[in-house]
Amino acid sequence: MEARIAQDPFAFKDENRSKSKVTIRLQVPEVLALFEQPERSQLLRFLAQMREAARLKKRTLLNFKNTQKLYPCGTLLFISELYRLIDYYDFGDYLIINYPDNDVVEQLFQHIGFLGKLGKKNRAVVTSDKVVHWKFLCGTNVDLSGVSTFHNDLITSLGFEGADRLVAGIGEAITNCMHHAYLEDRNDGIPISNRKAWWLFVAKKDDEIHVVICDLGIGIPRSLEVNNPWPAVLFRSTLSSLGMDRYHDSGYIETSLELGKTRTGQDNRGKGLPQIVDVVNQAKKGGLRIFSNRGFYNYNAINGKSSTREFGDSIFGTIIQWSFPISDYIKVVGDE
Amino acid sequence: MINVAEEFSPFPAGRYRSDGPYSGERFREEILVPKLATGNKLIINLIGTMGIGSSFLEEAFGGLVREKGFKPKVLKESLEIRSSLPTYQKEIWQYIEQA
Repeated sequence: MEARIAQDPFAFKDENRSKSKVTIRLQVPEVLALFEQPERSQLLRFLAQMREAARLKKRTLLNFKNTQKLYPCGTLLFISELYRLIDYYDFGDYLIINYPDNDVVEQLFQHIGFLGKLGKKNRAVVTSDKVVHWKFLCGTNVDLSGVSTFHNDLITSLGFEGADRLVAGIGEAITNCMHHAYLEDRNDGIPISNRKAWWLFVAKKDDEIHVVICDLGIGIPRSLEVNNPWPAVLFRSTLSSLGMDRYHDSGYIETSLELGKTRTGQDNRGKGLPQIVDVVNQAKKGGLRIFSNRGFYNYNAINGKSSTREFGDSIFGTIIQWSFPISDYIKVVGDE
Repeated sequence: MINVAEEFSPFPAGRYRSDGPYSGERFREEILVPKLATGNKLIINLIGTMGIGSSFLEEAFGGLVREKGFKPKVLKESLEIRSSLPTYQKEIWQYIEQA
């Protein structure tokens, strides 16, 4: 990955950083998404290159020149991966970035604090309707204090009860992540062990709420292999009845949802994901997507249909993305 | 009376102490159990809190039975839950009964 640098147009003039030359240049993909190919593979390949650059402690440029489209799943995974490397592996000491050419991309990265974290001045006026509604939170434990920055907005939009249930759902998703995601090493080549963390997007736009949460742990399949709340025989027979086996990460996701619908596992576990499906299901609109390692589960509440897909490459973690209309959500919450 | 939002956190969350600073386990051990030990009726005021999830509630209140040996019948007489959302009372008593 060594680059020839006769004249380096991206030489970063910052008195706080070394003026050493960039030796690794990484092109951030045009599209940050996980649900379709080839965009998923392009993003995951880029993330692997980024981890390798961090491991080698090489001066690295992330080039956003061609980055045009940001989907929540791919964008949150990228942000999570990079923040993990910066916060726990000192990658920030070796990293420079340029401003994206795409104005909306720059606005989003500025709006969530990403540019500032990487030492770039905020220069955009954040006005895009695709950006302003999104909030970004992250943490290393179950602490919802960050919600206080926007919980009044949630109450205005959803009413107190709606806002309360949504925040409770987010708290449960984070708790699940802390309990199950980091049971073993991630095995991604970076020796950061047992550093628990979560990253979250939430948005209220028009009549819809969107929540996306990411962990960079061992994924649902490995977590269930390590510590399954259901009896092994029951789990494997349910997996088999779905036409899957232990080589299907998507099967593990779907099986845990199936079992969670009808029974709780040991120690009251196993209820988190099915509860999220329940909210979406009762609203009869919106959807749920779960990405975990190579598996992908998609549920469409409008037609009640779910589908799974097995990809060839792993995200090394879990992303849960759910959305539902505000009006239906308030109705569902009010009926509980 | 315990005003949870003021005396503990407006956003209690998480099950175990290892989860975070405002967990159900911490609330139970540091606040609930000592107050119940006085033998007086205890009012738990949840007004002012937001987004309390099942992990917190089950560990805090179900844990009184499961971990500390309180009897549900005794808790029925000792505890009063106040909140702006009736769902919290329902959920807490369910965890106490099922623990």
